[in-house]
Amino acid sequence: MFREITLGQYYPADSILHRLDPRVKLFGTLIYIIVLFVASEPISFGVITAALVAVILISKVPFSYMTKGLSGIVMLLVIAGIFNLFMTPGIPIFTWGPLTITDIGLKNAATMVIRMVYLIVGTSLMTLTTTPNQLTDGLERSMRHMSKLGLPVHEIAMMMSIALRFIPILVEETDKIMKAQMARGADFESGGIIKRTKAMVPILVPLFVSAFRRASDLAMAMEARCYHGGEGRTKMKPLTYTALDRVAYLVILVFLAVIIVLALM
Amino acid sequence: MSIILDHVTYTYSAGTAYEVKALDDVSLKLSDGEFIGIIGHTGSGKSTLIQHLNGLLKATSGAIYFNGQDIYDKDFDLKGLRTRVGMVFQYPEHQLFETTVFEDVKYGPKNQGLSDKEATNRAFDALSAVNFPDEYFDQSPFELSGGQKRRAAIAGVLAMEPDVLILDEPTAGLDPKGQRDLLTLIRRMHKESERTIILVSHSMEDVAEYVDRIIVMDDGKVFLDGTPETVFSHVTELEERGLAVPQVTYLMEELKGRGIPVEGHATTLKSAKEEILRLSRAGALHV
Repeated sequence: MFREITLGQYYPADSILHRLDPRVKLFGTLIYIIVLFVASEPISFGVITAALVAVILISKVPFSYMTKGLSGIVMLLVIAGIFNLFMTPGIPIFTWGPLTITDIGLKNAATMVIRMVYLIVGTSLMTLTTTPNQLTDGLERSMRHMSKLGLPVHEIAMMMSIALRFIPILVEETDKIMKAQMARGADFESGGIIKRTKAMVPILVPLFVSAFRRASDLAMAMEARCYHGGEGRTKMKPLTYTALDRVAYLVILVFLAVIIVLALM
Repeated sequence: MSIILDHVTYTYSAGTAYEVKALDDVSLKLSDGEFIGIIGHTGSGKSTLIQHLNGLLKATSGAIYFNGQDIYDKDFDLKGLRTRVGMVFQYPEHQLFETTVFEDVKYGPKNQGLSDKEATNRAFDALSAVNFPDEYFDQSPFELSGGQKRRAAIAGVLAMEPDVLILDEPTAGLDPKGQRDLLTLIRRMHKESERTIILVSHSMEDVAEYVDRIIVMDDGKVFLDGTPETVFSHVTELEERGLAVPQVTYLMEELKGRGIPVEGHATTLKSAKEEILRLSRAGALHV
């Protein structure tokens, strides 16, 4: 029942997107997010949509995987949409009782909803095509210079990769504990909110106990292999750019340029 | 009392890149009072199979009947089934959560809707059945030793007084004495209460010694199903599937290979001893 969560879950496939250097994908995602919030004209959104569809097709990841992340923010979308639709002043185009829809309201609501949907789909595209390890490697490399400012870059990257690695483990563990308690007659579905919250105790307590146990085991195993932080640590597979990555950078920059030109026009 | 599996197939993550067929057209009849051992290498579908028996997993196709009733029927009481088919998971001590051992064991009976008094009685009986020392009844389950935690967790399932008890590698991670004690306890429960017991195990010696019927799983299918003697006569087939036969069976095979007229397939120390004594009396041990 918990296998549905795709956040931070890698989808194995052999595509150009999967083979790209994680730094390129991080950079691309950053540009994509900026562009999403810079763009306001329909033509810009048309370009973004075309780019997004192209990348989705290249990625070979089933589309349903990207939309799964959306189910969690449906409420947020609806509320943001409604508020923008009815609360924005402008020229009324539709009135029903106290409710008025204005031209700007309609435009704002559409822009807001499209931005959020594209944000989720686009960023999940990155996590679906990049393994957590690549992702943190990429982050660590790109933020390397920040360590001169006293930012513990390696430690943050390590914490991130461990946290990401633990998501599926904890999901599996939760599933196991839930089943074990269901075998003892636990009922998680019926009853009011208080009863259902109480029913979570038999899951949460063992889950926390096991999370602490796993964390301490992992710390021990890392120390046993002489882990001492990032100082002087080398990589087994250092990140290197290929011709493909250079082309990808170029494509991203052209994309950014097109959007800027469209915004200025 | 019986559980019948009719062409049960189960696929994990159907329709995705991670699709795995964990059970493939499994048909079985588990009768009342049987002591069944399930063996198979890691990933052969043992755990998936047993999770179907109490309805924790729903078969992708096929049907399961508990006492003649289809458990996938809309009005079938699945929660009731789970308390009648008790399941002890691997490392059951990881499911302990209450403040005291006694409260934790009472969790199951309370979910069955029993009164506090009845639940207390059940918990007391279950803890005594697993020989749990009474001075630890009011301790936090997290402060116990591994073996005691395991006992407390098993008591938590026993307290529901299930008709069928499924144990998934109950001896994993216990020391030899703990393993022996636990298996003796399971055998005693089988003899005394005549409940059906299903034991998933990796130890060929244990299944040979304790169970009456062995089901061998391989690649999601039932590969062999029979008494320990018949199952363990397939030495090469079992080895090809990453399994083995008990040490004494190897010994008897070796004797046979050296031209000694060994009869039958001894699977336990006791039966091997008897066969060797018989051969010795017949003067057949000298080659």
